[in-house]
Amino acid sequence: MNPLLEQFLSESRDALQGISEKLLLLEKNPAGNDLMVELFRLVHTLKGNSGLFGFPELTRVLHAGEDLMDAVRQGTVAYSQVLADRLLDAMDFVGILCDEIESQGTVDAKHTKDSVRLADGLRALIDTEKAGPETADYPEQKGVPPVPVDEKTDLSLPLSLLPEQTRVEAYRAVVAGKALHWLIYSPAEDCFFQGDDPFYQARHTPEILWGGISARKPWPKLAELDPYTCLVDFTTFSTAPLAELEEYFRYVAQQVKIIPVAWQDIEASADDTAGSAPAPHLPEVTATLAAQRAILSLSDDVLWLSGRIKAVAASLSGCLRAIGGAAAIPGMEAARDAALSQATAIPLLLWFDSQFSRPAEAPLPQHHLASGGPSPAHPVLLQSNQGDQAAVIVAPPGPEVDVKFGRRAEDAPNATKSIKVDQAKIDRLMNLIGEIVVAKNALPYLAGRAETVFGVRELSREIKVQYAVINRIAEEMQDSIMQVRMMPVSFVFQRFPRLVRDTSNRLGKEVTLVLEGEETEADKNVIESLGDPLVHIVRNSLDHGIETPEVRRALGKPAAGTIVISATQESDRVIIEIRDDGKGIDPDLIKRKAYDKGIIDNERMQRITDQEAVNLVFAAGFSTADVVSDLSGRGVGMDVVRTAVEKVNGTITLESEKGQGTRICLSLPLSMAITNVMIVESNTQLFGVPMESVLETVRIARADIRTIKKSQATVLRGRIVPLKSLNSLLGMNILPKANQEDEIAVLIVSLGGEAVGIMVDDFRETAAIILKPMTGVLTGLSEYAGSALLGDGSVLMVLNIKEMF
Amino acid sequence: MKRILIVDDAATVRMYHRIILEGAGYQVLEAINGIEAMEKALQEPFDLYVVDINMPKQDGYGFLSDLRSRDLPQTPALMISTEAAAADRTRAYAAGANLYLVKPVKPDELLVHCRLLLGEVHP
Repeated sequence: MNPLLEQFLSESRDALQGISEKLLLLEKNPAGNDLMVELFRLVHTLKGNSGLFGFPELTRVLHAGEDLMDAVRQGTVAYSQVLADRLLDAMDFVGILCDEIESQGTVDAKHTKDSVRLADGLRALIDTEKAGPETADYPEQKGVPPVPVDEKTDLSLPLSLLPEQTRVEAYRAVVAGKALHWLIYSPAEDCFFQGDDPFYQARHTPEILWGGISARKPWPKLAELDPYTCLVDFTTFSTAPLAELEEYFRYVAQQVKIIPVAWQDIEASADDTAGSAPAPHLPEVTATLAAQRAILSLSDDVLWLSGRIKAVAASLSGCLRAIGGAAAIPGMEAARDAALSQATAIPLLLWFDSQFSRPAEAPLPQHHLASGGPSPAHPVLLQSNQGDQAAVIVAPPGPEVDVKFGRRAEDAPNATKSIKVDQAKIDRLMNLIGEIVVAKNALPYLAGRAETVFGVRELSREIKVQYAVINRIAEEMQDSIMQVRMMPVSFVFQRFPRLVRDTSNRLGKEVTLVLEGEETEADKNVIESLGDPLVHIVRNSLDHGIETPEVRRALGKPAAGTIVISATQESDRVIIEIRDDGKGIDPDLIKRKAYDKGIIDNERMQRITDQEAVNLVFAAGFSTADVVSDLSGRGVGMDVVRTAVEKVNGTITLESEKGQGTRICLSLPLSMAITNVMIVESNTQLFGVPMESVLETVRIARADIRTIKKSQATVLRGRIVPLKSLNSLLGMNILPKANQEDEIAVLIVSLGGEAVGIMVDDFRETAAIILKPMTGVLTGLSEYAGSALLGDGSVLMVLNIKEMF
Repeated sequence: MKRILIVDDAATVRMYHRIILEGAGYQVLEAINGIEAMEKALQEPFDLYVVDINMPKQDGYGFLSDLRSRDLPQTPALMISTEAAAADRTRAYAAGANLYLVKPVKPDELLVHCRLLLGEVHP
């Protein structure tokens, strides 16, 4: 994808997230002025960006959103729930379009209807006072000067307004035997009530080459403006045949004037542009010069007058050099110096008008801004009535305008210094460092060979020294890259305010969401794997945990339930806790259900504690459709949650007190890219056991191993520890080997909170490995968590302790 | 090489302008608000400023009037905004802009104006 589009999508997603966050904050604090300003800015940025690409569906919705937020920011429209809903809907839509642009590169035409509907919905909220007829705000029409239309004499069409590019296209059309037509479309004032969309109508003029919009008459004051009255005229220039144009405008035939244009007229108008020397040829030159004159005509009453004069002089000097009028520069500089010494722009203005023939109507400024704005005189090339026509639209910068922009400076200082990097690049870096970590492990092996096989002890030592250096660098590098991959959990948490708001509204429940420890960080993969389980849990909590306000009141609880999601770091684990003050889970109900499902037997049902019972909701097969309907508590798809959490080496526990609420605790590793394993030997093979499940390593005399009811066990510091041989767990009927002292190596592992001993032949070193999950036909071997490559190139199978018993 | 400073809070817009201007052989630097722009201008003044209006911390108006008030080489500034209204244009001029373009600015449009303000050969 084109990097600009990529940047656009990434920035858009950030902005969308920001908008939804700000809206939710605003919901809590509807008077938050700063929030509104920030919201406006986000929508504004999004819209501005979208204009760079041709996605009208996107721009239409964002434009309406921007206008609405502008009105909210200025206080002409009050913030409301409906407003938030519609804006959120609109932003969801924008998000969908972004996804589509990312996957397909285009926006499907089917979205046009939705975009119009959403934009209309947003605009409908804008107070009539603020709303204006939708005019020249689409890219195509932007920056086009208002077209002065002389309705009496068709001959004096302002053809000189046509940009050079349009002239070239018109010429080509004429050469191709096409006709040229100038159209003036003056929609009826009440056209909006007749279902007309004059802007659409004008824009879609067949074979349109150019178009412009102008005010029919001076605009009334904003307060008196009736937005439902169409006060604009549209001018278009087309190469379509007359019959086609007439056909196109047949429903508004009375309102359209179609004037044939001869190529000679256009050519002549182009000749007009060759004014007095130095001759500007491009409309850009004229526009730039006109801008300098407009600036000089402004009130001198600013602190930075000298800076302004110097900057205008620099711009004029640039223009003069660019158009081959460098000879005029000394004169201009003299005028500039006079202006600077007299502290007024007038000397430079006089020079300007003497240099470029000043239109007769453009007066020297007298009252400057106070007289209602400057008349942007267009030197040389534009027709003399242009100044007047344009001046009509120049609204005096009244107090409203000042308020509008005065607030912008207060925009929240939120920018952070960071760069965005494609995740694929980080992943690649991560894989590479993983390979280094593994490859460096070959060095000690090599050193060993140098000594034992080749007998060069010296070299062996040197290799070991070198290994220590590489090892240190590799570890630091690994650490740094891990840091890059760390993300705050807020990345996952941020979706919950919206989720809770929408779901609780739909369910008619009142819920307060509290987020804690959002800044806690963990590896990106871990954070991302957290998303779905958390959504599941929170939804469950909303659906089945929190009671309706009436029920809560009857129970003497506050009407609004509370869901707290908190994150904390405990050594190398992240603990995520989700607790609610809902109705909790009835352990008896769970026991019965589990029994009915055959998950537990009668004996276990009698013996099981309440705490153990509620955790049965995680058991596979516990949640089925009829459970959902029968058991109006939790339990919906909780085994899915558990599986997802265990996939990233996490654990999940649940505590619940009937009537008081539920607490679910997820414990996840900070990172899952590198796994530390303990290597053990059994039946001449090496196996890895993840360090997090290893409690200790002991050697137990064979005499101390007892057989209780066919199972083996031993007593370790006064506790009975069941023992299993790794060989038998893996289906090999071979006894573990004992050492010379007749002791058996036993790896004590933690299994669901209990200590269990695994008998092996011997212990080896611990190693940091990159765990590759089992692929292909091997995925079925659940006893293995995956495989890893060792330094000497051999493959280490890593055991999945949980699945072995 | 002529140096141009792009001041805009939207990364997409900065990138867009950078692609156009760097492609034309200018050295392009970026700032995300008026404050940062002024810091960069104080280090080494630019030949041209391309400035957005609505930005956090300090907007384009604030930046330009600050720039124009300082004892720095006063080089042209081009202001770019989504607002097409004449009042906005006037306000931009009053604050210290030398030209006002309405977004989205087409690549050619931006380049021609930059070349003009920088006094380069008639395009």
